[in-house]
Amino acid sequence: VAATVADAGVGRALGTSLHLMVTAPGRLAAARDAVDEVVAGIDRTCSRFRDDSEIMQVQARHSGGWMPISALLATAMSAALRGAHLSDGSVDPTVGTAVRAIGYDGDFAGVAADGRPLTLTVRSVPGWQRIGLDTVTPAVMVPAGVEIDLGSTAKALAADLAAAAALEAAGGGGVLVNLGGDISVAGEPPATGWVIQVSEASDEAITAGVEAIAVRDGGVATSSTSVRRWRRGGVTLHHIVDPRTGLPPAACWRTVTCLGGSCLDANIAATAAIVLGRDAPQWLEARGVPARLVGEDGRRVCTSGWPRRDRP
Amino acid sequence: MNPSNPTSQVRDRALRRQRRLRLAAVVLGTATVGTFTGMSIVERAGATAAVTSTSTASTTTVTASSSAATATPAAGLSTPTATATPATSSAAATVTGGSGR
Repeated sequence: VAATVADAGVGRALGTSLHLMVTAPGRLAAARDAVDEVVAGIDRTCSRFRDDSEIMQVQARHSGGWMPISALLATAMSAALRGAHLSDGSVDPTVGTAVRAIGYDGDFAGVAADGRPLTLTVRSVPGWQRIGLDTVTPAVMVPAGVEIDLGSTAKALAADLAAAAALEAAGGGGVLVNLGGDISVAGEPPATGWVIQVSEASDEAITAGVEAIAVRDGGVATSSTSVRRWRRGGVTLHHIVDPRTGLPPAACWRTVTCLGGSCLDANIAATAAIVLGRDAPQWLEARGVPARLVGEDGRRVCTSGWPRRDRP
Repeated sequence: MNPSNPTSQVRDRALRRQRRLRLAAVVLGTATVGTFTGMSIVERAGATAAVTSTSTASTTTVTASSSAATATPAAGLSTPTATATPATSSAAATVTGGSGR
């Protein structure tokens, strides 16, 4: 840990790991309370794994008309729709039914690692354009039969909101929030920057010699098809769905890590890259997103702005 | 409005139009209503409408529905303001990697 990081804490949140770091001495507990409050709010609001979450209640009661929602759900829906817009629909919150159909129908801990064959139909998801959102009232309109999954963007949004809240609670300095590999930093970074190991899975141990980068602001996110996988009828499936087919995208990249002005934008870019497959490097390059893509065959491709290692 | 004064009529029409546009901006959830003078809805096809402000040349896209919409900045994905660098001297503080959702 860099010398200027005063304190760090670890835990679990949103079904994944939580790592919080602060540079202000003695402020970890206050920052942790702030993070816990944000994360609990996102879970109560956006989780599709609990029947009492606001998004599940909205969908259970939907009548095809407008329904009032909380400001936090409006923020989360707005983030999801922004992701859909900026990714040209590659990251679409209306994948809920498709994600359930391929077997991810509950908290991942309860998803059987192997199972009988599934009968799946190739069809595009309903489409984010069908959702209405009024962020002023606030209210949402979800047509009948459209199932929302905010999972792709809600965790990254939680990291951004948590970092901002932690910084305020810490009263200054710098903070880093890592929610299962979705990382947001805020405030004044350590002298070395925030040093982040880039791995296949977020639960990998910190190891000397593994690629690491130093960031000073914004966010970092990784999407991977090599974690949260399961098999049905001998076919390996994973949690990312191509909205055009309703199925996991064709194998191309197993891991994509992106940098962004926020964790949310990094996450949108990384998820879109997995869906876009071979077109991803060009898509990322055109948008100036620094990214590191690792193919199924292990080949590594980096786009503009990704930190280049010094070569002897 | 003064019906005998054409200049006044033009001004009154402009003020009414400005009030309508400000109201529309509030309904659309967009910010800074003062910049919407001269705004016009230039496209409203299907579920997407584009709204431009001729006075500021900024563009906002909205997901349109029957009576309200989501304002979505048309700006692209944001990138960090500071350049990330390879870490060579410090041990990593944390790990990014896949975890699912």
